[in-house]
Amino acid sequence: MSGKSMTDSVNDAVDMTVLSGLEGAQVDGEPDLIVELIDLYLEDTPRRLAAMSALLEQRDALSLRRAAHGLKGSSATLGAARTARLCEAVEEMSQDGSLAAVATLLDGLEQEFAHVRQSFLNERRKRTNKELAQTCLPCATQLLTGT
Amino acid sequence: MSITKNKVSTRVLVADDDPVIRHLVASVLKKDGYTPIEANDGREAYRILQADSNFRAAIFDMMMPYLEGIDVIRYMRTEKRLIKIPVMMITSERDVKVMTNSFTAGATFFLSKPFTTKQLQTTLGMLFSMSAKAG
Repeated sequence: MSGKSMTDSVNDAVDMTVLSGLEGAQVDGEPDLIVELIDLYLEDTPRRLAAMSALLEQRDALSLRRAAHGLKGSSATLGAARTARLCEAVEEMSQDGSLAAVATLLDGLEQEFAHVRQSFLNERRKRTNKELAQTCLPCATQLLTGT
Repeated sequence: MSITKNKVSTRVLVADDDPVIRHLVASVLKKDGYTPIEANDGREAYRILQADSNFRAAIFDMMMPYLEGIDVIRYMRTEKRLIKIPVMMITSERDVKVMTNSFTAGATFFLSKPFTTKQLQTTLGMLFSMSAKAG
């Protein structure tokens, strides 16, 4: 994959309008909710993906379907629509017993999560830099000048 | 418990094995002045409800480990002290039969994933108006 297409994949991985739409739930005086949600997702998703691979090895289609179902919900809510669609496909293929197809989909999910992860980390960095700049003038200068 | 019996509780039980959704729902509740009591799965929600009925409402994910949301609702509808607590189910399930079964079991409202903050707040508003009517 070229550098440009990799960047495109990262940029397309998360719909930031969906993510920023959740700012309405921000409680005044509490840490940035979006950063917290990103952190929770990035912590939880590798565990879920590992569980799905293990379930595929065990050929446990029912549990696999449930695991994909769980990841679908949080991914769609945070704007990771392509991940959600892949999860939905895993759900359907698991239900049909097409586990060979599920193996291919899980590879795709792993790749897509790498893009989602990078996209979320970029957004997280922007938000924490902004927060830092608002609370510390020397830090803002450093961020602006890159020194 | 410090809350007197005649005071309307602000506590809301939130059970979801997904930490992202649980945290988002809890944040909306806090913003609206409620106190979320969080459970990581259906079994934990069931254990909390065995000892505690002081909830304005409950919000359950439909598909949870150990005990599904619908199982917890069935338990609540057999207990006099829990029977009036309205329950909202959150789900990304699109099967109408599953939803029908949940309503039959006693779910009050449904919210489909993915949802926006606005949709969540609107549905919570309806849920709390039900709990006010239930008294």
